[in-house]
Amino acid sequence: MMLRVILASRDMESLARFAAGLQQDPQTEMTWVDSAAAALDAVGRGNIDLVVFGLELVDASPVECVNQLIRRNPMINCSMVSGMEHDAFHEATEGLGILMQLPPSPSAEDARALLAKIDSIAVQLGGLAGAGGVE
Amino acid sequence: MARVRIAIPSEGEGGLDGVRSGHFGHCDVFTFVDLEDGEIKEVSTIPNVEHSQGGCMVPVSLLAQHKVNALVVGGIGMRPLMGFRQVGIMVYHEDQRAEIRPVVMDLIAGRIPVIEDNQVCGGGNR
Repeated sequence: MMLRVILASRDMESLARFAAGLQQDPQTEMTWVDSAAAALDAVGRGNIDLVVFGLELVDASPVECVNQLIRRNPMINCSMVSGMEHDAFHEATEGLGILMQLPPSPSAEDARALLAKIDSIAVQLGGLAGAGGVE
Repeated sequence: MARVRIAIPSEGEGGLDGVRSGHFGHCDVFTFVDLEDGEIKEVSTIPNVEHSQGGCMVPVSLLAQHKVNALVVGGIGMRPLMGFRQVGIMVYHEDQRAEIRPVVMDLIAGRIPVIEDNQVCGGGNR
């Protein structure tokens, strides 16, 4: 199934190796944006599965953008580049459901790890499809 | 006949005389209390599902699959809260009492408020 990804960053170059890793998966379709406004606009048009944020956007912080995004569509997965220590990152993004913290200038291997994580969550969600309940 | 299923994130084995879990995503089980016309008809439990960081839509989907109508939490993040709203599950907030039974009785009596956006965990709302 096609995975539709938005790469959102002021600095596209810093995500180049990561993007190359994503593109190795033929089922991945990427769109580049540099602002929160453009990311939210793309999400509003639908069919987005994942938004990957670089360190900065031109008009807002990535955390602010995720806060807006999950109000519009909480089902979209988000990942974020951050140089913070793990605990500080967790504290800063608690409750936002960030799938994975990416290191500055993430690699193709980081892209593959993120795709694997998305697959694992899809399996977890798929495993619930047969769960019962009261009628 | 009005039928409603309440879910309570619970520790250990759960049940009406059990203890609530402080955060819905990390509970051991969910206690389900099924009401008919405001009366408790059945109490059951289901185990929570393992989910990795960022997989907070997994328990949302679990409760939706089990046709839960209302959830009472002591703490929840913004993303799963939005998820519950999207699937039509009302989320109520009570962070003072650990016991399940009095919280359920208060919910039935309409004394537990719906959670507000500024009561979620993290995201500047701690």
